[in-house]
Parts: sequence; structure tokens; C-alpha cells
Amino acid sequence: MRFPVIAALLLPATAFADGIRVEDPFVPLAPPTARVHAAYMTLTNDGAAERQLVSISADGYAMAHLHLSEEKDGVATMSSVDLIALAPGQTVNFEPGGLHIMLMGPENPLAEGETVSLTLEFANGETEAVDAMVMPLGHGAHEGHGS
Amino acid sequence: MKHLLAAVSLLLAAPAAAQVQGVMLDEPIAMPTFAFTNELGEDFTERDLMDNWTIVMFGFLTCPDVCPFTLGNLEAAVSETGMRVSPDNVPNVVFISVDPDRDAEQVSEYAKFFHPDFESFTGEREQIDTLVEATDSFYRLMRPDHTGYYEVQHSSSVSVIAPDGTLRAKLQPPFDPGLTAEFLARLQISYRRELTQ
Repeated sequence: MRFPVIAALLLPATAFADGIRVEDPFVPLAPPTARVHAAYMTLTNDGAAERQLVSISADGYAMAHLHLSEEKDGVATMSSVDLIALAPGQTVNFEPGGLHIMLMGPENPLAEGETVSLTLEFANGETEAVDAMVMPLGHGAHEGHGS
Repeated sequence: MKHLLAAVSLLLAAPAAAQVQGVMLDEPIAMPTFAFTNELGEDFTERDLMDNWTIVMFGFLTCPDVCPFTLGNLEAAVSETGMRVSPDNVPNVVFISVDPDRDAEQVSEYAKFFHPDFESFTGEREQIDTLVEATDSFYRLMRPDHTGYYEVQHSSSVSVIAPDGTLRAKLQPPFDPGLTAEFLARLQISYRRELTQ
């Protein structure tokens, strides 16, 4: 636990999204020819004020978008999400078949064990750096077992 | 087709039955002739449906979430099925891209990534529409944004085709491996029972 403290001293305080907890960030392995990848994680607002996640950037990708997959009458649809509001104490799960970060235009194929560096940007100007682990989605992965 | 629609709407009307992994059709639906290909020159036609079980999934390669998730779960479900049925009855999984403009040059790699035996194809729009319609599936290419990028909507369920080449069932998300395998094994038992009647 020593490292985060040191990092906090070295970086401007505004570099941290105060009170946002990020758990289990991961990017499932994808076919080498895939032109898009996805990132998932669990976000919890441990702070006292509402926080709004407004955008994401990802190293090694042309673009990253907040996206929501939904099934409507048996049709899988995807739509952009402009903003994710996190009330104090609220947890939001990004998971397969639901909310995800769409990573577009990868510079390189994914390799297991690597990490993808993401930056979460909040409406108040704060950012949070997240390293998402590249891993197989796993046999028998179910909806809701993303974390 | 009406039977299938009835079965599907019944399912949608009962969201509490979230663990339903598939719907068996009341009446089998014959498949039309069709031809798909990939950049390796492999092809997939109605003849490939004969004498083996086939699972057909429609999707597209610029699909970050649902398509990889579905193929990953189908891989797990098919491997579970392999423990319940004879090797000859383990379904072939075929991925058809409905987005040939972007995918034709590299479609073959896609499903193979999830299992070496999974195959991927695409083809002429007319061929895609033929099989989509015959399997009571759906897709729509959305309007491109200012960068030319467009999204694709498609059926979330996949089609199960019996060794006589007829559509017999639809598998539904979330494709739980154990329950899907159980569903496929039951489907095969009722299919064999029907043949011996």
C-alpha cells in the first residue's frame, strides 16, 4: 500500500478522482483481427458528492466510448452513453452484455497478461488512471459475473 | 414461422423465466439454399447443414461486447454438450457476419479464436438476408456517423439446425453453459424420438 501514497505526493492532487473506487478492471482477450475491444470494471462512489463519469481515454486505441448493450425484443442493440452518474455510495457494474467501455481502433492485438491503460474523466475535471488486465473472458462466464 | 414467433413472444412475456436457455420450435423449418464464403476460400452452404447439428450465429466484427461474449459462452456450452452427447452430435458453430463491407477480408479468424473448430463466413447481402429471414433472425446496419463508423443491431439469439437441415430451436442469452448443454441434449433426444416414430 506504500506506492499509492507516494504517487499521491508526486502527482497533482487533481489527478485523482477523489472517492471513486475501481475494482476488477479487465479487458477480455479478443480475436487478433478484432477492430474493437471492451473493458469492464466496477465503480463505486465512496465520496459524499455525486460524481459523473463523462468520458474515457485509452492508450493504444483511436477512441474509447462509454457504451451500453441492451437486448430489446430479442435484438442486441448498442448505444452510446453520455454520462454515468454515481450517487454517493452507488456502485455501477460494467459487465458483458451491459455497460462497457468500447475501445476502438486498437494499435496492437491483445495479449494475455498485458494491461490496457485507461483514464476515466469526470465532470468536475478530475481523472482517474486505471490499468485493466487483459484476460480470457473465461469458461462459463455469465452475465453478472463480471467482477 | 408463426409458431416460432408465438414461442418467442411467450418467452418475452415471461421474464421471470430468465433461466430459459432456448425455445424448441413446434414445427421444424426447412432451410433455403445459400452460399457463404470467407477470405480463405472456404464455403458454407445448406449442404453443410446435413448430417450434423449446427448452431448459426449472426454478428459482426466491430462488435465489442455481445458477439465475443456470445461466442465465448457458446464455446463453453458446446464443450459442456460434448460431455452429454456422442461426438457426432456435438454441434458445429458457424458465425455469419452481416457486415461484409468491413469484415470480408478477415472474417475467417473471428470465431476460430473462441474455438479452433468454430467457423466464420460472410457473403452477398442477398445471401445474408436469405438466411436471416429463414431463421427468423434480424439485423440492421445503422446510419453511419460523421466518421463513417456505423453500428449493427442483430438478433441476440442463435439458431439450432438439426442433421436433417431444418431449424429446430433458438438459443437465448445468457447461454449458460450447463443449461444450454442440457437444452441441446434434450432437443437431440426429442429429435431422435421423432425420427423413430
